Amino acid sequence: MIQQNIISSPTQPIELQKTKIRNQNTLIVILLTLGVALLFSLYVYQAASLYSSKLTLAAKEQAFARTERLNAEALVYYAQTNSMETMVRRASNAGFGPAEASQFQYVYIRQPAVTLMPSNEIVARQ
Amino acid sequence: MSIYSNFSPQPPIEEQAKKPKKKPSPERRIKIMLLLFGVFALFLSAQVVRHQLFGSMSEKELVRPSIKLLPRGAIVDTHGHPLAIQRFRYQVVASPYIMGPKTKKLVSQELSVLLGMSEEALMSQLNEYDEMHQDITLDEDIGSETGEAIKALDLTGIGVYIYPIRFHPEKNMASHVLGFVSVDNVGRYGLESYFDSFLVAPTNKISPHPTPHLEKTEQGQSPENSLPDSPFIPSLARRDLILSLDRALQYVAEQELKAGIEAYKAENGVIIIMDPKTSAVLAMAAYPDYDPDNFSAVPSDDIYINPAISKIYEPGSVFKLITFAAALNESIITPETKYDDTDEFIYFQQTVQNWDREGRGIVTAQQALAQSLNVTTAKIATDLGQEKFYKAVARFGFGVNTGIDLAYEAGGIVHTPNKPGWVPGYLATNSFGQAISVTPLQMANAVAAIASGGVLHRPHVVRMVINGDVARSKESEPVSRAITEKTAHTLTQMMIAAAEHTEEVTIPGYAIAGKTGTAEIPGMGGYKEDRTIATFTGFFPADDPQFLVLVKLERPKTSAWASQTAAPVFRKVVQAIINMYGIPPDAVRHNQ
Repeated sequence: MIQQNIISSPTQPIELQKTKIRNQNTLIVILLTLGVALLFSLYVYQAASLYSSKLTLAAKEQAFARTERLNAEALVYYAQTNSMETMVRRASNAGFGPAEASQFQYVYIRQPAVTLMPSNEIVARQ
Repeated sequence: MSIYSNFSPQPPIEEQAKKPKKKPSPERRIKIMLLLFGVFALFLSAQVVRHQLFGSMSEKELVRPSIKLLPRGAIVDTHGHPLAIQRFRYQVVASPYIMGPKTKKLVSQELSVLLGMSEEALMSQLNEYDEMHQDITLDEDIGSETGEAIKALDLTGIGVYIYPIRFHPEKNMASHVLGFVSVDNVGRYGLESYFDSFLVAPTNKISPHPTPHLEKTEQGQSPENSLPDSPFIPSLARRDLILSLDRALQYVAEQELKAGIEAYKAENGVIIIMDPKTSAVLAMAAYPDYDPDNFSAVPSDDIYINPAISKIYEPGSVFKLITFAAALNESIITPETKYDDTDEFIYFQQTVQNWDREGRGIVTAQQALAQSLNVTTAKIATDLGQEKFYKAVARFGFGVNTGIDLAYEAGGIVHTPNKPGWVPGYLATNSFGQAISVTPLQMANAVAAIASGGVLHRPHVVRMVINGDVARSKESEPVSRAITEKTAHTLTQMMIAAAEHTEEVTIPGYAIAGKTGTAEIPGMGGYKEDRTIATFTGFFPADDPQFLVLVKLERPKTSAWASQTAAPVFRKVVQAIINMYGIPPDAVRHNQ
């Protein structure tokens, strides 16, 4: 046994070293795999959230476009109902027409006389 | 088992199987590291460096491109009433070849009510086009309500395409001023063409500010350049034009022009109403007109041309105002200067006669203008001399474009001394508006210069431009001083007398300064008396000009004379303006 010990003793540190190196390599691979997995998951998460945002944005754009179309339609309706042709037709149906010169009466209104206060009085009032 | 077996460090066979047989070589490690680095670099490249490219690619793949927002700004009148705005056209298209029998039935059921078609008719159309493997347009332009309803159904094989198109709520009104927008969204003629690149919004971005603010000018803000109140709503494109045009005045001008053309059996006509102090165009009517929403339904493309700015004509006696203005300005004449108005006057082989071929004997310059005497006018021009005459013609803006903000303006034809095409006799004929070509706008603007105390302004139809959040006021631009203020005043008095001479324009209580013009139209075989262009140009109130009106009727049949055709139309327009604006008679104004 003693002899056996003598013979086997120098191989143990080598094995230990090899095991250590293997462990280190494994750790590196695991870490790298983890890193890549993390990056990949981040990428997937980012892509997913980007896609989700784009869908939300697209939905909002569609909603906005629809609102804009309705707004344009309302403006068109407003413009049509207030056009000169419609207004004139409505006015004439209601018995209105352009005023004639003979219908005007001009009334003279005298402006009230303005008395300027002396400057010392203005100062005193302030 | 040998005795050395115990000394051997070999693990058991199971353990041997689990362990890698070979340790990775350094090269392999480097390769793995490079591969990992490559993957990392790809991620980095995709997410950081080229994210925009991939972003847009994914957008194309995943998100339907959003409909471009209203791509064109609005055109409104001076009070904000819309003249050209955007609306949406909903087009329904079916692709029957991607529909199954059940889908076709469903589509027929759902759309028959919305499109007002029978279910059977719809079904047969879908089957017919399915065999041809073609798309079919079920409706070109359905209303927004129906369009949105069909869109919301989201039926397989049914597409609702939405296009923004131009809409003109006032229909034909001011069609020559506005122009139209073609199907490829390009502005044609008028303002749409002149401001085409401006009116198209560069981006889809919406301004966060609800109301544009007025840009401060050096002159400061004045009530004239303020934004219109309700009903003005800036467009989402924020590229809007606020015109000096007043739709009520435009309406009056168009109605009276149409009535005048019908009454006097003229072929076409033009009415221009301007603010003579700034040359802002308040109305510009031309007939025949067209519907810009249905611009292709015209008998000829010539109808698109705005005759007020693009068609030249010989102005006739209205041009005498320029001759008299030049002569007064150079002190060649006064209103009392006497001339012998002979039966004819020959100048460089050019024989000049009055309209009735009779001379009036000794007349004053004032009488010559009032009676529109060609002979005396030609004599005044020859006394003035060609150099001074043509310089005055140029100062009044003839022979060049006025610079109005409308597309396809013509500059007119003025033959000047020592240039090809000019003969000395032209001095005599040009003096009363023959052998010289102008546009109605040039003529109106020249008379506006007399009304504004002698200063010629650049005419304009746009009074304010809205660009983004800024509303920029377009100030009136003086171009040149055509005549002195004193000359302008003297000529105005002479024009009042001339207008009083024409009974057809007289409105009791109001002093109107104006002048008739009956020009024979040149053609094969020279001038013909029965082919005339009748014009009346004038402004009022004469002592404080607020409005300038030019009426031009081409080839009236009931009478060849402007006093019997253009003048009554002028009077009706002026009367309408007086009533609309409540302009008191001169006596009332002077007592105020």
